Amino acid sequence: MQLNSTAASVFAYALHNGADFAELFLEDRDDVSIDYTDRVNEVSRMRSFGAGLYLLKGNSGAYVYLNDLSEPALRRAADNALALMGASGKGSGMPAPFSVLRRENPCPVAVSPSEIGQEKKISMLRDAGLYASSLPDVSCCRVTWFDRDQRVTILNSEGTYAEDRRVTTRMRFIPIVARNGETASSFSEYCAAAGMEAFESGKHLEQLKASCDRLRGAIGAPEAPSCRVPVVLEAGACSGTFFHEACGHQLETRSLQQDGIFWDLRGQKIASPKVTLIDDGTLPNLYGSSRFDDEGMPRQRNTLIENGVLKGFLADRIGARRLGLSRTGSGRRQDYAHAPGPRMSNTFLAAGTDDDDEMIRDMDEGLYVTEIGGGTGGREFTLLAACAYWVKNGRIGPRVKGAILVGRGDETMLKIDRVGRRFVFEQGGGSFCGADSGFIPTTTSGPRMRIAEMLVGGKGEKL
Amino acid sequence: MIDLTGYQRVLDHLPGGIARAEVNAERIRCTDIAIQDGRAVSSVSFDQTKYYIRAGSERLGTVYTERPDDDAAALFRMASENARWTDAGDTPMNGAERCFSDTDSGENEPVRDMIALGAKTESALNPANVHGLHVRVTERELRTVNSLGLDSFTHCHWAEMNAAVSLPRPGMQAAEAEANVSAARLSQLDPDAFARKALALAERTDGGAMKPMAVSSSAYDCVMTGQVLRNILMTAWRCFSAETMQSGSSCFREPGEKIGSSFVNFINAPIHPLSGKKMPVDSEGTPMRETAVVQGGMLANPLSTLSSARKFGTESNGCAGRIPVMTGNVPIALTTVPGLFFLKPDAQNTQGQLIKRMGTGFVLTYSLDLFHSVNIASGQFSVPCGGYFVQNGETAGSVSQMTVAGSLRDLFTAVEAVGDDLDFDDFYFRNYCVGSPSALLRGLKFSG
Repeated sequence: MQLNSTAASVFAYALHNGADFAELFLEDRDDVSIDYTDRVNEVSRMRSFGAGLYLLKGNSGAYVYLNDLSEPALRRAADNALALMGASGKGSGMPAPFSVLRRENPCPVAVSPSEIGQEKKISMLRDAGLYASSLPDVSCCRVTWFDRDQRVTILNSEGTYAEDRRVTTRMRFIPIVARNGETASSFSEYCAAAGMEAFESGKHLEQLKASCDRLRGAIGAPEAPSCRVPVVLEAGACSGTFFHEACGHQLETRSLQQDGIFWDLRGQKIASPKVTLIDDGTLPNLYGSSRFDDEGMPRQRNTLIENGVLKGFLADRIGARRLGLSRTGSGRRQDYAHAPGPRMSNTFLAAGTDDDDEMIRDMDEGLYVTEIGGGTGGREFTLLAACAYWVKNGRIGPRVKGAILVGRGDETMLKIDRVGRRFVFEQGGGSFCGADSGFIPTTTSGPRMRIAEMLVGGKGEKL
Repeated sequence: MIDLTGYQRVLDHLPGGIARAEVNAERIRCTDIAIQDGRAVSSVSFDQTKYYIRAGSERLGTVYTERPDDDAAALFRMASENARWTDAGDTPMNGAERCFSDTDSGENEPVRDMIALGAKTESALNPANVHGLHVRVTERELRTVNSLGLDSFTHCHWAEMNAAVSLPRPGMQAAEAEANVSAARLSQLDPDAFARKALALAERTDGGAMKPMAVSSSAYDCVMTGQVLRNILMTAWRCFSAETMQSGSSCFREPGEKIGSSFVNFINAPIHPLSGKKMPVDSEGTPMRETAVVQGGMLANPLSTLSSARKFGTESNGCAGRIPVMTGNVPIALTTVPGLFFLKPDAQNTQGQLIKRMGTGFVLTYSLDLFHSVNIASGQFSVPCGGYFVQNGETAGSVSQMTVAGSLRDLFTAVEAVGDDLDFDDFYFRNYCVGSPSALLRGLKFSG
């Protein structure tokens, strides 16, 4: 289709019939996945091709997506969206002429996975499978390869024309570790906003080994006790994920609109003065980075908390409209089948000034968490401590399992009493965050930090 | 009916080198409207067809597309090419004997009716705080056609409403309750009944504005409301998949195993009067049968597909599907997916009776973290939760930021009675749902 002229015509139609803003998100995406467990279970290729038409009128929005990108189909979609918004009568706006936005790709690709045959990818899976089977107590390991080549074009009635190409590669490991009749399994992933070159260093195998070691360590380990103790979160994804769940989602405009706890607190202290929290979608080679957000706005660095004081929020277009904020390049979506929403990208706690070792040495008793297995955000947030150790008299003691950390973001962030000096990016390259606008790639990073007291849920006895 | 004429033509004369082929197409038409102040504030609408193509000889490869005009022969060849790499062994496929048709097309539900229903419901919810009231209408067609003569088709239609509701409590931030309801038709959704249900849930969730109380970590009896049990089952159903058991990644191993008390009965069904959703046929074209998965605490009939049933020497109970993984990838691999999976209620016990019978303990009204709190391989769970405490039959105070932990076997064994208040959660756009009533459980480990 003649994209520019079709989009201009559909936008003019939508604006003439009552919308005050129109956007078209086009996506053409190829995915390959290969599933391997001692043998190749499945090789799949997927082609996704469609568009989402997003109309706004005041603070109302309607999103219609479709696979037929002809002008008549897009006009029908516009009619559908206008009806959903209750738009009637004549609008007076005319779409602006398109102006192409250009930005450097923060995640350049050296070797595109689409240029590599399946043999090479299968061979990498086989190597990973063999490596897993050489590790102690690993009874089985499922390894899955994913590569994605997503081409998007975002046009809107304000004249935005933005193209982006996002290539990612990923290997997922699901080892089963069995010893003394006890079984442990979980999944971990090595993700890259890069091509095949991301797998040349062998770091993905280090990730696999760490995953198996962690599972083995859990077997026979005592259950974590339930208690309120100081908690140290290791540098990297641990401390970053804490902020992602404790406040990140609450700082997105969608949460702010739904009775968010931080809305009235701009300029006020919401965390320990040791906390400076940033979300930055421009950082090179990180899983949450791209040229533009999914509303065609160049990505940017957003300071959310500075020295404990709330500085900003993450706003998509409609959230910014509804709350009278500026957009922050944070309008993201999984694909054309999702309307955009305000989302995090690469969220990190800035390095502090405290001694990394002292914060453990200084503890009488507490929990040292080296891996978070996921969590949920909200007024109350939870973090699963996938790998944790009991600390006694300043020494790291035995591994404990089954610990889950529970708290309220607004209370817990004030209790952070140490932020270390050594900053570490998320190990494993990134992960996915799920919310209304789908699953999107993100990273969470930071230095080691300590929370003076937190609820640890577990079923063990006092250690 | 989804038009697969182009595919059928190729299936009748398969290209050289392809012995078997199949196309499974799923069309979903859906409109979802968020209502606020009596009007639509945001809406999503789509009409999308997904095509999953499998082809090969003994082994099958898969290709996925969303374009109805793609060349069917080329797609079959591409799938067959993918099969070349696999060593997965013979993949079973249904034949002509499984042909099935079930049509329930209904009429389009006008948008104005959806908005009017939402507005009426919002008004009926007054004076509660409503955070996101959605009205959604969905039509789903599923058709599977293959070179062995199978032509299996179903067309379902349902309407849903859901809302997050909290009650105005001066001086405190009341906890939110999420209520939902579904029916075959929009006209069958009753705004007043839904509002009553949502308000009652909100009242229970925030503990009736009781003062918060602290409790020490220990073993307690509890009544888990259906909401909390459904959150656990949202992950735990996977333990009952034959495929998961066979791969060693379920904490349960085989049929015949005792997994809970005699009050525990899990059922998987294609339909249920309390849900508008229907799953009469699966993605392999097998009609879904109502199945007693766990009977009297005994694992009886695991959820199965053609492949996993064959390994157990049984017949598939129609649970083949594609399930979204939490990464945004198109779920292309056929795997085990339930229909309406639920804990069988007991008409003899109301929730109030269960609480009375408990005497002293927690009434858990909400839980957090559906995705990470249950490990299906080890069976261990640690669920963040809250609710209120009951002492000698009297409510004593609300509790929050607690966890309940144990193993699924402990949990199911601790069930002493099951209530009559079965309800289902549809959970976003997933093509399955889980249901549970309240249950009384003895001696679970709590921390707080």
